This record gives sequence, C-alpha cells and structure tokens, in this order.
Amino acid sequence: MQDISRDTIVRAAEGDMGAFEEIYRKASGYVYTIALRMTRNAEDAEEVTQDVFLNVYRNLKKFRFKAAVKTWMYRITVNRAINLINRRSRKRGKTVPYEEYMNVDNELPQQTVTIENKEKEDLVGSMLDILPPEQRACIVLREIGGLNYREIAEARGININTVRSRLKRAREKLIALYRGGGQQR
Amino acid sequence: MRCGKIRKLILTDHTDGELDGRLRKKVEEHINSCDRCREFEQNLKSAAVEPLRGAGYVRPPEAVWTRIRAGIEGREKESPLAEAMERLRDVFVVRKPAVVIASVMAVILVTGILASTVFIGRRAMNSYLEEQVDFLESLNNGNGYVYEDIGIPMEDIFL
Repeated sequence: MQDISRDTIVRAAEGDMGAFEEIYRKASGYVYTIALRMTRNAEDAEEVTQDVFLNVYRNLKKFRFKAAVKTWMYRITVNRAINLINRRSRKRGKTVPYEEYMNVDNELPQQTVTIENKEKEDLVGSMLDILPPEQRACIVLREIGGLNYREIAEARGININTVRSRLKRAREKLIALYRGGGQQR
Repeated sequence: MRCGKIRKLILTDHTDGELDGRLRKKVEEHINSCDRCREFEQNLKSAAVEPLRGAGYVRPPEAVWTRIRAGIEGREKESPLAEAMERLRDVFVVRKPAVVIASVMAVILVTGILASTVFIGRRAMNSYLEEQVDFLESLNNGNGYVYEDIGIPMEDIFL
C-alpha cells in the first residue's frame, strides 16, 4: 500500500474530504483486491470496500497511530470479508464475469483483458477456493498484502505461531492441489 | 538439521523471509545439498507462492467511491440519534449473537430506567445511546476503538 502521511490522516479526520479522497485513491486498490481474493465475488468485494472506507472515515478521529494505517485497514477488510462469507453462501450464478470486474481504468498497473490474465485469475481462484476463510486470510495478507508475520498477527488479532500454523496448513493444501492437478492451468 | 524440520521452515519462515541470518544460512545450505528438499521448495513456489504474488492488484469501479462519498455526505446531515441507530444496525452482523443480544437487553433495560427519570433530557439520552453503540461496535472484531483493543476478542471473554 502506498504511504499515507500523518498530515493527510489528520486532515481527513477533521473532515477534509479532499484528504480522505487521497487516502481512498492510495488504498482502495489494495483493499479491494484483498476483499476480492477473500470473497471471490466482485459484488461482495465492492460492498466490503465501501464498508471499510465508511468505517475508516467514522473512526479516523479515534486512530491513535499505534498501528500502521495499512494494518488497521487490512484488519477491517478481512473482518468484513469473513463476516460476509459467513453470512451468505457463494452466489455462483451472480459472479461478475472476469471482463467486467477487471476494471482497466486505474493508476495501478493496468490489467488488460487477455487470455493469459483470465487463466491467471482462474488459477488464483481455484487456489483460494479450497482454503477455509481463516487460512485464506493469512495467505492473502501474506502473498497479496505483503504483510510480515507480526503484521498479519496484528491484523487478525492472533499470535504469530497461529499465523505460522495457518500458512503452513494452507500451503500444504495448495501443494496437494498442485500435485493432484486440480489447479486450472 | 533433518529434512522434516527444514520442510516446515520452507513452508513458513524461510519462504517468507522471517529467518535470522544464521538459521537462514543453515536452511539454504541444506536445500543446496538435498535434492528432495530442493524439489519440495520448488513445488511450494510453483503451487502456492508465485501464482498469488504475481496476481497483481485490481482497482474498484469508480461507482464505489461515488457511493462512499454519498454515504458520508448523507450521514453528515443526519441527527446523532439517527447515526447511532444506523451504526447499531451494523453491530448485529457479528459471529456471536449471544453477546449482542445480552448487550442489547442491558441497553434496553438501562434506557428504560433512564427514560422514566423526569430530569433526563434529550441530549443526555443521545449521548448515552452513542456511547453504547460505540461499545457494541467495539465488539465487532477489528472495528471501532482500535486503541482500546486489548488483544482478546470480547466473545472469548464472555462465552
């Protein structure tokens, strides 16, 4: 996630909409991607992203800079996503087609709609689908969020050994899937 | 170091750069000298690491920002009581409804007692309700008062 200055956070907390939009522009790609990888559904990922930023806006005044903003946002994102996953079953029929949710109008590296990218997305999807939510959260925060073990532990409210254990189990499952030829390659 | 222990480290700390210099060197030396562990590491990278790390980021549609902005601007026009009630709605989406039910019953009981008191004004009532909603929100794991987080989910204390 791009760095967000303390000054920007303070101004946003005071109601400066321009500062809050700056936070959104810097962080939304990361939040949305985490939400998308967790929920496996674009519509749900949009709902989670919306919830996260409304929550961030409401609670900016209470943010005491004891944790990194990135860790705080990822914590809310994963919690919201897991709540959503637990609340409703996967809507297979309503999954947005790949070409629609791969928004190409963005400042992050462009994800153009190619067969190669579609295959990559299918592969990532088949991998994450086999993981239970808590293991998926640790894998997503580690591989996509780039968090280290201490940051993942803070984001999930667990200890570092639990992070280690969940990553180990998740990766064992992914290796078994790979060996069994279950990944769509 | 035995292969079993090395593979545990390959599955976790070694792959994620969490090992200190000395241990990292020992693991690398073992991998370089052991065909099976080297193959195990390669399988892990192909199966579980490279596909995810190379997946990239996706930006949300612009409509998401439009809705967020509308939500903020709409909320700023609401009364504190209406905002408190909306936040209270979010709190019911928690994994342990027993905690919420117990808390809500306590709030209803105390609110009823306070409301019956002649001298409690509207402002005091709004302030009390807002306080209770903040507390209930803090039960919603990870949200609300970050700086009050004692590291133990409320559900684990009460259930």
